[in-house]
Amino acid sequence: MSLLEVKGIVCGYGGKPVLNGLSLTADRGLLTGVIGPNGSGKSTLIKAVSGLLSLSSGEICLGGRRLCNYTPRALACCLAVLAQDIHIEFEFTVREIVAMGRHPFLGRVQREGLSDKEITERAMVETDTLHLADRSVTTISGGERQRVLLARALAQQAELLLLDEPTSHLDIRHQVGTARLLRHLAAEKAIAVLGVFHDLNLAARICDRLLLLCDGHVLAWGTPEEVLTPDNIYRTFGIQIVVERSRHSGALLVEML
Amino acid sequence: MRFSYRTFIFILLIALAAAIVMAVLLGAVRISPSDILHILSGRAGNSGNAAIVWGLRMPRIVLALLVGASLGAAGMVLQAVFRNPLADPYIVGISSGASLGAALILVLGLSGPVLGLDPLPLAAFIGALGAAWTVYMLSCKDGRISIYTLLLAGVAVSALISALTSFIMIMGRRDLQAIFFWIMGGFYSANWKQVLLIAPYAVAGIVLIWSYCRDLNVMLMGDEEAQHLGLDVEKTKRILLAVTSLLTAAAVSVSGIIGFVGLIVPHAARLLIGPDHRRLLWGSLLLGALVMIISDILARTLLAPSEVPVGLITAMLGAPFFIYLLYRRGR
Repeated sequence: MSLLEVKGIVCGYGGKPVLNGLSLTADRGLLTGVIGPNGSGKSTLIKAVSGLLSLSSGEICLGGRRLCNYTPRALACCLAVLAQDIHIEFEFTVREIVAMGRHPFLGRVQREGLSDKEITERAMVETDTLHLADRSVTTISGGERQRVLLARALAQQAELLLLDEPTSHLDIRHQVGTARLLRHLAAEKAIAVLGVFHDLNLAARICDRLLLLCDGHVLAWGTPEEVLTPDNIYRTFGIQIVVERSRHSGALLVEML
Repeated sequence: MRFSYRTFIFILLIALAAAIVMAVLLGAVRISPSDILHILSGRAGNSGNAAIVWGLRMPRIVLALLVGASLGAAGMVLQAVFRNPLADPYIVGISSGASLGAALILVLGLSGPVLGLDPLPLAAFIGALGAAWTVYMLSCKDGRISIYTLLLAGVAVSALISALTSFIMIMGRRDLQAIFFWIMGGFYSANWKQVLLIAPYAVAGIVLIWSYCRDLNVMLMGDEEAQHLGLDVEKTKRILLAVTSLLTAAAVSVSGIIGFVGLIVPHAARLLIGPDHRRLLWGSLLLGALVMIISDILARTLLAPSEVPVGLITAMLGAPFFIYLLYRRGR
């Protein structure tokens, strides 16, 4: 049984469905990438799986249990989300923000213990944000903030990690670093990662499976080779591509014509 | 500029103790410090000065302390719930509702006890909660409270109720000054009964807010982010709005509308010790009590023997500070 099972969900905003009968699974140890044009429902999918939207039909199961049967707190213990474009106007330090990942594990008036502090520290090391720990989160750059929020998600030690464009604000060094980290989390810690990616080459390089979305339904679903075909990309994005293997790394390369 | 938390709390405690001593010493009647020591240690018997210290000055200090702490804590919570450092405890219509209740009682000339309680604080309390309840109901849709609608509904309901209050004031012209004095806020009628009236709300409210401090931190991340971190956002919002309404209504019912304290105190404390509510709560409580006691000292002594409404003092001190904060924010 897959950790996450999405079965024929229909949902959207204000009665207008964005996702039309979408199904997918995500397994422990695998990095699943969601690709597709703007407005195809990628972020809505992340929102639905994170429990923010109510479904008009279909169901989402996490660990064999329906999502709507989780309390917000129980859900946050097994599912962490890195959302898009989060602004924080209050002057928390980076360490305070990352420590918020421990919130669902603590009692009402319980303080963070030694193990919580260690988990927080390690999450900052893994995302290369430890040097920012005592800076105010309002004074760091967009890319740094994105890594801090990833660190917060890691501090939740969830089994399923949902990422909405986790590398959108990152420079190439941190793109590579984050990509490696996600691979490591999937392979070594057996976490299921479901992430939205815009960069097809990055998605092809790091994902075990890809899900190509078009108008709220799944157009293709499989390994990067199976999904990233000129035909599929033309049908969804309306542009011509060629796909080849890199001579240096052997990775799949998508080139726009 | 951030202070270390311990230094800040230490300074506040010292200042609060000093302000309390000043408040006991100063007043229309001069009582020497040694006499006051005698009275407070219970060795002076039932002299006239003892009656002034125990019957007038002490309840007034305790009441100012409780009201200041309540407004500071309520303002802090609402600033987090609204995710806006410029929110204040009266944002949901509490001040206008309380004023309407008080104005009605003063115009109707009711003075006898109702159910064993003074009618004035009772009516103010009911008016405050009624206004807050109306505003919540207006902004609640499908079991969710829209913070944006809450803000607008608060403005609209306040405007409507204020118009009603003004109408009542015009109708009952001879009570105009009493209503005006009540609305400006003050502790001139402070007694131990009022202290006992507000103390349970203040203590229970503050303990409950204390138990929600980490949730308040998470709440500042935004509704969706807070839910990702395991917070039941709607339930938490409802509980916190109910608690702050009760806390504020209780404070207003015994002291009138004292503005700016609930706005400035948490804001200033946040600038000095940062936004973590587990620290900010103690900063807001102590700073609120301190500001209120100092304002009351000024209210009693500035034009002694007549009194200035405390709300006037806090507005005169608070508004320039508020403008300074806006100026800083704008830069």
